[in-house]
Amino acid sequence: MSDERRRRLDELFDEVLDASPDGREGILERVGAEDPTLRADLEALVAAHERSGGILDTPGGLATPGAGLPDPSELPQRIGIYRVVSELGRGGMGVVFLAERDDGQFWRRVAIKVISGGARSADQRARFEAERQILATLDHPNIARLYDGGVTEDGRPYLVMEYVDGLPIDEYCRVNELTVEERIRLFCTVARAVHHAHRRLVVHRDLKPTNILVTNDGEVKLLDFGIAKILDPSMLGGAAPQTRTGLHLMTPEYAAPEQVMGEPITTATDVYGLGIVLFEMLTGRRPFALDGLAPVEWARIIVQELPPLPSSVAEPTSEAAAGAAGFGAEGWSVSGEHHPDPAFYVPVDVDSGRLAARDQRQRLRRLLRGDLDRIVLKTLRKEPERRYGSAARIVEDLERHLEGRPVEARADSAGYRLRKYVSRHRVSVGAAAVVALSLVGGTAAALTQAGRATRQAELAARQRDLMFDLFRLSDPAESQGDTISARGILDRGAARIEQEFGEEPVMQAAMLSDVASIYENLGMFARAEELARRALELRLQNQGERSLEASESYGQVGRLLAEQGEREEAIELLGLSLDIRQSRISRPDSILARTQADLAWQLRAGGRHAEAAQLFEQALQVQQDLLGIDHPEAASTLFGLAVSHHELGQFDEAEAVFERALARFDTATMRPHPVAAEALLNIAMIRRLRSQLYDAEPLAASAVKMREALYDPTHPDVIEALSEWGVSLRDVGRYEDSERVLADALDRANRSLGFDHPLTLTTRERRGTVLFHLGRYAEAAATVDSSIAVKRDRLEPDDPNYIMALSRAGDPNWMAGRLDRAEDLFRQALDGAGRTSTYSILVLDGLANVALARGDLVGADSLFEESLGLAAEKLRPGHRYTQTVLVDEAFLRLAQGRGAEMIDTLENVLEIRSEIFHEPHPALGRTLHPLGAAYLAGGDPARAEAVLVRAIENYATIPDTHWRMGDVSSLLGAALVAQGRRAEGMRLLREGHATVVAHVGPDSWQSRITAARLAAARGS
Amino acid sequence: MDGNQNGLRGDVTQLLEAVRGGDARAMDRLVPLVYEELRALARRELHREQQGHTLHATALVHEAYIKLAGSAVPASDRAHFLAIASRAMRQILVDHARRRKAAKRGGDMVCTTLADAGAPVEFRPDELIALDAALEQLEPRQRQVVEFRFFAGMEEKEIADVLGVTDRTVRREWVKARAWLYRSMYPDGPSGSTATR
Repeated sequence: MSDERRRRLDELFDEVLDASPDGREGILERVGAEDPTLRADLEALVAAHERSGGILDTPGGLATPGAGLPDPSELPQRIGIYRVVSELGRGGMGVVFLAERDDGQFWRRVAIKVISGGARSADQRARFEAERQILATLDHPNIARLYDGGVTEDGRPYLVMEYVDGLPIDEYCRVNELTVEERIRLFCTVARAVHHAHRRLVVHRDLKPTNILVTNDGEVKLLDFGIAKILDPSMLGGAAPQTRTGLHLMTPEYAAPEQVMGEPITTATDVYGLGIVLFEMLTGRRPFALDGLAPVEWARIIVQELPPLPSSVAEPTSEAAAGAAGFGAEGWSVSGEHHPDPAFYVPVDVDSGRLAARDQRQRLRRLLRGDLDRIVLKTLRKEPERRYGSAARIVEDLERHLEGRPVEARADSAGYRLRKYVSRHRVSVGAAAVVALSLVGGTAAALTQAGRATRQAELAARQRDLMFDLFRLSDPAESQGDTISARGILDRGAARIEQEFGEEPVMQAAMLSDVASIYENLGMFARAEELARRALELRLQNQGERSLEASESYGQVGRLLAEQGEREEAIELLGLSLDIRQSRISRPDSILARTQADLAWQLRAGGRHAEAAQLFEQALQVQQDLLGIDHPEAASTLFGLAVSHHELGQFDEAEAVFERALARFDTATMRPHPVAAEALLNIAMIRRLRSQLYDAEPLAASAVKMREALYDPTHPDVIEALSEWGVSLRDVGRYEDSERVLADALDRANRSLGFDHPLTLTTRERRGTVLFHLGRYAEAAATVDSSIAVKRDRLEPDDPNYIMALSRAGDPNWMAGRLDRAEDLFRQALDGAGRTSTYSILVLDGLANVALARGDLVGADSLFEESLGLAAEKLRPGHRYTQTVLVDEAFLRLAQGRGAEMIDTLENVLEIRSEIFHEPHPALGRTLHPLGAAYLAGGDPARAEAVLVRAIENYATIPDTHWRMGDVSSLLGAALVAQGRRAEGMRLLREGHATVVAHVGPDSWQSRITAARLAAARGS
Repeated sequence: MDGNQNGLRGDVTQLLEAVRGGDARAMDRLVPLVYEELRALARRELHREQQGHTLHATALVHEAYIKLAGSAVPASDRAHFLAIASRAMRQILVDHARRRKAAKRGGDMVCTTLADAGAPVEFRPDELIALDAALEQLEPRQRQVVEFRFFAGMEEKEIADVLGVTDRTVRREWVKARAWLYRSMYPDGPSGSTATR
């Protein structure tokens, strides 16, 4: 458009704005007569003027936190692109409207759920959005579609869903008087839909009849899939405080034990929900009577009380109060082909009238007795992993039942229960253990006198049951770590086992193994190993070298060795355990998966990443299927897999897996619980690996707090968390805090794990790095030196672990001016790694730095070139190693007088680093520092000044006496002088130089630079 | 290094005065200072986005001003400062939008609050970039009004001061600018799921 035309339109628009509506018409006419296209343009302008909701408009009304529901008498007219028709209902979480989309092309009826208490922050919004998108991909004929979502103008999120007109499934069954078989088939449809969603990693979390509607045509539709997660206040930041277990959130009748306990929600939770629904559909009742009970009471019932057998409570008539089932008279017929047993066959005879109510009940219960009882109960097991592994399996068993074939559902043994529990939960044994173990002593006498094998087994079973129950009562999550008395008790108990079970090697081995677990959970690995080895010995002797029990013991000893850093032997034994188990079981189970994962972790520690990745994959498959992706073990394996990909340089895979791992954890509020602490720590590590450093630190801090509440201060898990926290503090630039925490961790590690335990070594090196950053070079060098000595003994010269240690030792020596020693260390590292290894990138960089410090510009140049070439070849662009080398290279260019060439590069590094670090952060300071120098060299002292001031601000957490502060001061002085502010500039130059000298000495390469700069300024 | 900060601050005040007096060189010196400060502040805020904070452009500009010039400065100096800052802010936001657009994951919404204490508004990077392009086509004064008001949150009076016109003119320029921009950006009407009640 020409300027002329534009101006004309502008003027006309002015006229239009000043005119009345009638006058406007007149203007348009006049313009149109003169030039139709001009009129069109003007109209377009006016139309644009009248549009609302564009980028320049701020929405009307403030969004206040905790905004309530709208006035019921006032329906919104539109939500998004939909026209609201009526209100369908409202609940604690929000309102549901019936709405229509009617835009000429398309007509559709939808239900729109508007959530009150909205998503305030961008983070919550993003999560809402992410969750919604996952749910929107669920495409199944029996799952109500989630079409769309958004945020209303006053900030409340809404979801647009398929509108379903139907009855809740229990009502449907009652009203239509469905037979047992018909109900089962209807249920199978539901279960298949749930399974479909599970395979896409979506858990419903809130299955109940009101969420399962059946239309007039008999079509089943599941509503609100996964919405419970979106509605979780911790996700959207609503005003509701999180109670200890979130009890106020759920519908008690349908809540699963793990929901009540605040444990992770998995697909098994849905299985439980399906179980309650099935129970209700078959019996007309719910398993537990929770009406009118306080939360504490119903919580206890759900977690502890076993449900009744469906066959014992089914009520066919509608005389009972709520939840009665209306089974029609005809419904009692079951066709003869499916049930050959004549006792079940009832001839259909509609004309003969209704059977007596009592007969009806008898018939119904007879139908339910046996298989159906067992199937229902299997879905309702308290422990998630003891339920059906998937919703599909329920369907399979129900189908088997309908076909008269044997079903899978069986009762479990008590011994299995105990072992499962002890291995899954970290137990801190309190006073309850005293009772338990004295009982062990007490009944042992009875056992040896008993004589008969079956009786012994019975007693053993009962004893285990007791221990099981007592252990559960002394869950560390409740007792909060009173372990002191336990040790003595355990020792005595262990001795007693030896004495009193001498005649029963099988029993003895089992008990030793169990007690070893307890020691393990207390962090007393050496003692645990002793007992576990004893158990292994006994089992090898008495139960066979390739028995399952032997496999378990191999696994146990292997794990214990792993905890103590005996990697090679651990790998050997875990491998054996795996081998045996694989050959003995027909299908992979979660114990196998756990062993695979344990082994994989050890392989990873040994640098055998490809093998580790493979094992993690296999383990994950099994854990996903059997335990659900939400299970902490699966999540931990997922993390292991992600780390392996990362180590193998497969960053895209790693990232994808990390996302999955992260999505499974809800870290909002967790009460102290061993599983939660592990999750927190895992996530903290994931965040750190993904450079989300500011997220990692608080998580690690929480993990420390939690573990300190659960265990002794010297427990290895506490030390691990401390070490992780220390490094995360370092990452966010809080060097002093980091040093303090790491020193503490190191102290504890030295005392309880030993000087050369892998965790101790790692912690020592971490501390070395932070000391390095703080400028305490002598200490840093000393710290890492000791680590090198140990590693040299234990590792191969080309072990990456060793190479990195050498490299890290070189740096403080270089900074402190001990150039010969630094060079020596770097050369050793280079010899070990070779010139083409990824690990040599930083080694070459180190050598280049040393050369530069010596004044060998040519040598430094070629080494930097080599290092960068290698980095370009081996690393993805923007990798932090590359950044490091580039920044170091800048100092070379400055020395060569080519500093200005590095401006763009350094700006780039700054941008990239700014993605990870937030000001103030020394890492940004270390980038701004040479950048300022580069601008100065490039003849832009004003810019240099601005940048250097920023550098100083970012150096906030390093000591004032650090040579870097001195150098920046010196540079700033030079910049001021260059701008004519001589007096001030000279002062800074002098002070800067003095600082450098005071820190690293007058003969250091750093002070030579500042001295030269000072001299140049004097001369100018 | 406290002494240095104060020195810098004193400079900015002087510079602003000089700019007001029509000193172009002072402007040259001022711009990098302002730009650097804003960029740093914006960097911090924009990257905190991931943790659920929104970017308050106005707040940043004012924060930058306080850091550089202290708070006890005459209003007209402030106005000039804001004028410079608005340009810088626009640049920063658009750069950020471009980068977000290019980002592989999750770069869909750029969250910014560009009014006082108001509800957070979400812009897609595309919109911001389109706005930037459309701004270039506006007449200079209209463009400036949008920059000042939208990117730096200046009041009508302040804008009027800086541009040397009346309040009413500012208002009218805004209305016209907005129409021109929308005409260019939304030929078929604004999209998005905001309710239009």
